[in-house]
Amino acid sequence: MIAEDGALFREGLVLLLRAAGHEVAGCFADGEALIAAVATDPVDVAVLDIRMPPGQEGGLVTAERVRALRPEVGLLLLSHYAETHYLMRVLEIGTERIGYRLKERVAGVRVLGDTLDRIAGGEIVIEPVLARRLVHGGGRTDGPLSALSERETDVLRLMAEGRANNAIAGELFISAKSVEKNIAAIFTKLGLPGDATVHHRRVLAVLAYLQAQRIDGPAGW
Amino acid sequence: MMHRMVRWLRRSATRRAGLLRPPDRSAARLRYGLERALHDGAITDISALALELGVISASAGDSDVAAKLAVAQRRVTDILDELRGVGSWIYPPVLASAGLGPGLRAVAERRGLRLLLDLPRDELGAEARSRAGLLVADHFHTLRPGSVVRVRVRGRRIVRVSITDQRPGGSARRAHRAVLRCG
Repeated sequence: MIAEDGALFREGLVLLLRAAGHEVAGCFADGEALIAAVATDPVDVAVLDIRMPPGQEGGLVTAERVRALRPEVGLLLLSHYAETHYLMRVLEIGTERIGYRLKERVAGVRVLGDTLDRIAGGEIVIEPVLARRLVHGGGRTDGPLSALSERETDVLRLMAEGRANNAIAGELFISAKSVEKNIAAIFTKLGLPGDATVHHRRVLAVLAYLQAQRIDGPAGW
Repeated sequence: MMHRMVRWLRRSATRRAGLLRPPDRSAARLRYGLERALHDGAITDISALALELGVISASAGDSDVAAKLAVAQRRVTDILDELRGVGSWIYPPVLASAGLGPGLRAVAERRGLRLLLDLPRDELGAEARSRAGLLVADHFHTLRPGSVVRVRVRGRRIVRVSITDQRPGGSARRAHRAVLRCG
């Protein structure tokens, strides 16, 4: 199901989803209509525009209501902007079967299919542009992030995208065992709490850490 | 004696602080309107074009055509990145939808700044939020990535903004301030 107030983008998304072999159960211009449809016809994934009616961030409000109504429905939030504020709102809605991507970055059959499959499979999917900015932004050379090796930084970025160990291994052409070792080293060097083997908890720990590194620092000011 | 000395030092430091000129109400409205027009017009249409290219690529049997379409899609993505950057400069999108704190944090993050925010407990009114937000966001754009910046905002109708920043690796702090009459 799709809720998107831009007619051109909505129609394009329907065509792309069909080309990717998905069935589109419904297509709406606002969140209220999507909620009514999901109530009677639960689907695998609902795709929502963040900036659509009702209100300025109607997609987020709608996603919250869909999650409360039908927790089993996956949610893909799309936006023209990759912002930590939106990511944090998305994480408040849920940390499983949920995703946040830039609109034009899912404009291909393969990437859209991969995103939807991951969400339907219970994963969290985070816009790589945002994950990269969180890991590499800031220009700091004195923080704990600078203690990470190049490989560990790549693994951290992919963890921040919500990637599972096998996917990280595939992306970096290394073994799953090596990924585990890198993740253990990252958690030790950054002093991250929590269990690195529980997927959504480790994504949350990594994102919270990266956000804290970028803002609200340092002490003594 | 010591207290008097500290007060004098603080007062003279404030006098030395650079005065920033906040945007007036009509400039803030114009910038908001421009960002909306850019978002609802060019950015939305070009995003739809990216999807269209994706659909054409999916039906293209020829691998050469598919490769050329992939290049065109990357160009479209780059154009959108540039437009987004321009839109954020004109009016930070999160400032309009989520308020002063999230709006300024979003700009600081994009600029790679380390930010310490000290804001009023209650969200400012729409005009004060917009004008103070633009004032601070514009100042952020003058800072080098890695700079540390502290922003303090107080008041509701008479809004006082003070900004202190420090370049990466530097020890000198620069102070700026502005007063906005709102409402």
